[in-house]
Amino acid sequence: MNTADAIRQRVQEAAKQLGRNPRPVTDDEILPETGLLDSAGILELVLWVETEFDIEIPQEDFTLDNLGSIRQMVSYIESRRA
Amino acid sequence: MPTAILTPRVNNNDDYVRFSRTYVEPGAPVTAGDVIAEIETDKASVTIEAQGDGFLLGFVQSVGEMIPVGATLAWLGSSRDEAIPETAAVAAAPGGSATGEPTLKAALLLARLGFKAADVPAAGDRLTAGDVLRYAESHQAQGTAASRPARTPDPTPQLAAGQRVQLDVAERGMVRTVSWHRDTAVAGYVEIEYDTSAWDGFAAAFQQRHQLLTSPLLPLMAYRLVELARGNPKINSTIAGDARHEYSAINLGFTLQSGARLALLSVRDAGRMTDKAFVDALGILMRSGMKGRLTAEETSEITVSFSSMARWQVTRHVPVLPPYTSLMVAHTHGRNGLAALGASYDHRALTGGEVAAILNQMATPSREPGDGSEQNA
Repeated sequence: MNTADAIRQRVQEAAKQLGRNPRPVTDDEILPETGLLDSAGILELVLWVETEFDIEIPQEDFTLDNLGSIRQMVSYIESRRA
Repeated sequence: MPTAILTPRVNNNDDYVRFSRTYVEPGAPVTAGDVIAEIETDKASVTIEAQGDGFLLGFVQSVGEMIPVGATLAWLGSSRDEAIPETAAVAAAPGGSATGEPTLKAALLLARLGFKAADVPAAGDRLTAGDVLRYAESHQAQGTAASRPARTPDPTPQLAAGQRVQLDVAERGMVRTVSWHRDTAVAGYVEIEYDTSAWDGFAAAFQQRHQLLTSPLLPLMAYRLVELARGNPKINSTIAGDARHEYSAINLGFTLQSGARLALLSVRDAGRMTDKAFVDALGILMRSGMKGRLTAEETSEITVSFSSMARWQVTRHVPVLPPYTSLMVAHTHGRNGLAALGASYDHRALTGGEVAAILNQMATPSREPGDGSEQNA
């Protein structure tokens, strides 16, 4: 499973836990606008990314530009692991 | 001459700590800095170190007991044969009554233990919690009923057959908080209904302006409470004896529930922060909480609080007041553009009318959504 699919699966699992319809999310959808995850759910997703990909994300990087969509997350993870 | 090792304070809200573990056997040699024991509160565990070289003569307290801060925990001696002094002999009792006003901690402790300030000797200019605890300790040693803490564990009831599961630190903290609410505060609850559109628009504009990954709605509403507390010290106070203690700093408590983990985060000195700084500080605390890495400082000395159960689509909840606070605001899930904003309050410090006024002020942001200026202290 590639990085994007792993994040997508995680988003669906988290949405299901919150009792929301766990539909697939495209790479470019803005996650906070999907309605699948609330703010705490997004925070939990980012914490999962930190653990799963062994990176520490500083508070100043918690932006829509860096982590707003699955594509941006993948790009951010790759840049941090490079 | 033996040296007493006293029980340190771990955080402001806990005048008692649990003696959780020993690391050294009585009679064993120790050197300065050796860890000899561990104590814990709801929020943290702290190790106790030997303050000098010598021998651990023994522990005064038993593992598992709740012991008062300032009480003698153990004794160190220069040889393993030295006798442990009588507990009463170490109680600081210079005689006379207090030479000054009790500190807040002392006043709270006096009220809890049922002592009068005039009966307790003070070691310095003011009567401190340490003075009260030493006095309480000496009276306990003498077996006086008056020195017993007012709060005693509920007796174990006769239960049907089952398994006994020890509460963890967080669960014990919840028991203590709920008990303070029940036993000490005169808790009331009021609620208003408000239109959520102003806050939704304000938070969306703030998020866009600062390119935030997560919605700042709840942090900004909590910050509104901070703003109001700046202008009304009664919000940020507690009752101690026959006085209202208005806290110097606004330490905003914010409930975090992540998985099975429930914590009350403490944004310290929030009254001095801009709204953006507050949102960032709370974000960092939330991440620490979700990782289970909160320190005692990050969960203690809370003076006013905010809680939300909107995540669970809860439309009304009556929060439990954290100890020594007078107000906790409860945010809820909205429907059709309307939601309830409630608050539990200590009726000794605030009236229902005052709290309703606070909630009505909280129902809207303090400025327009398009206003890009940072709110500051």
